Amino acid sequence: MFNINDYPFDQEHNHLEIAGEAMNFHCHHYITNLQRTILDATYIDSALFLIGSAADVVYNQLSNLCKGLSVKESKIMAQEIYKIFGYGLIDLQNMNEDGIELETMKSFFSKTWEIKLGQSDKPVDYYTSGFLAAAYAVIYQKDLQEINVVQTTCLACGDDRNTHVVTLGDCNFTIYPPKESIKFKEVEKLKIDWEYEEQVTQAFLNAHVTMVGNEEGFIPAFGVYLIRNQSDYVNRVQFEFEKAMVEVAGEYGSTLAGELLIEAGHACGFFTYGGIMTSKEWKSRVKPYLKSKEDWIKALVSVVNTMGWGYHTTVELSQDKAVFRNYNDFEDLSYMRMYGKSEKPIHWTSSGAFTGLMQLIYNTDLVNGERIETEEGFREMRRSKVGYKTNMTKGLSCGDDFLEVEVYL
Amino acid sequence: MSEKKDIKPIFDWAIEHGDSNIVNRVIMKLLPHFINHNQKLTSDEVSQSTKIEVPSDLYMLVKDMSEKTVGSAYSN
Repeated sequence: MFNINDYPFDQEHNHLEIAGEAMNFHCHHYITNLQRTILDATYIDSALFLIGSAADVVYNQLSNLCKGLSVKESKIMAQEIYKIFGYGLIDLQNMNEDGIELETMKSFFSKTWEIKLGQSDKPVDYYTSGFLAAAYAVIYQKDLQEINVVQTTCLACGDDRNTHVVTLGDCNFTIYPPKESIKFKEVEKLKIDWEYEEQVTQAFLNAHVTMVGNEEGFIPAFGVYLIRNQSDYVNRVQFEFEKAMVEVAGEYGSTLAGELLIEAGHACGFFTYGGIMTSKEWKSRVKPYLKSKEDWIKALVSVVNTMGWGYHTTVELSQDKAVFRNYNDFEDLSYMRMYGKSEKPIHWTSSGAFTGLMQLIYNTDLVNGERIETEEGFREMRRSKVGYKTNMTKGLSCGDDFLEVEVYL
Repeated sequence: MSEKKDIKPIFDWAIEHGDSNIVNRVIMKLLPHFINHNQKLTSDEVSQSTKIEVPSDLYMLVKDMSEKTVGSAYSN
């Protein structure tokens, strides 16, 4: 019923949209690091926005995808996108007018939390709770604000399955106002100064449609688990967390949150980019073109331009300092759509990922074939005294024409 | 006035044995306590300082949370 091929990648803006929601790839290292950071702040009631952000995007997307479909067909549609996007498996057959008690043993969030962080003392799959609340609302034409959803068991806690209970009742997550449509900034792009950019981008773009959930509903690739993420979900989670930290500790809270959000991006850059650059696809399709460390960075940026994160490019690049730019980056597009203008740059993930990339290329022996994308490798690198610093200088949501970030020693 | 104790050695130990960005994680977990003690430490300030003296109750909180986050007992 759902076919990813019906949604072509927008090569002009390096963007993928499915039924009103911008989509991009994220890896489990980023997602679990981000969620752990948020849950570390136990003095914030983060479940409100962890569930609410998911419910909001899924409600919007499923409302569009299920137009004209029967109840039965709508359930299949919801199950299919959940699986194809890499979140695991859900069976909505027993959902009815009163809700659902759903059990599953395939959950991206619970599985990868345990892989990366070990057992949790409380359930971690807030996304699926939000997804199910939204699916119920769309399929049975309920208001989100009359739905209660609770995860009662979790694989990450040592249970043998995840259980989510969706009922009519007091809403226990945040409901957000309608969003604006996505507005791109149309300016002339500074292209990547590398003659093989187009070949490398196209090689990976052609593989795009094959990166969908397998029989377990997971997308293992490049040594990580990927999800096709509704961009506004993960971005709203970041923005709401930073906002909550400001309420707790003012500008200091924002600074602290920003550093940890960049760290999550850093983990993404280290593990996913490391995985890509040691993959067989990279060795066969990209490595023959690489003559210098700068080529490695430009090639990786050419690949990342297929992930739905916008158009990345390099303005300045050396071991001591790099200036990266991104046209129509996914974080700023989300921010403007949901919140309008920002007084400060908010592209923590992109900036952290750029910093992770610099670390990988210049502070490890990856280019000579050493595999370093292990948890201990990451810790070792982050303990290094010669770590790169990150300075977010420009952002679309601040009124600039693009995102810009300096990464320097 | 309560006794002051130096938390810099605890952070140095946590950096050596713990996860990446562990200083910010410990501060994040204890943020309301840091605010109550009018402390606005960042990881950069921690790395640039040689000594960070705080009241002994905050010292104990930092020690306990660092041990919990690292997953082993602090040893100087």
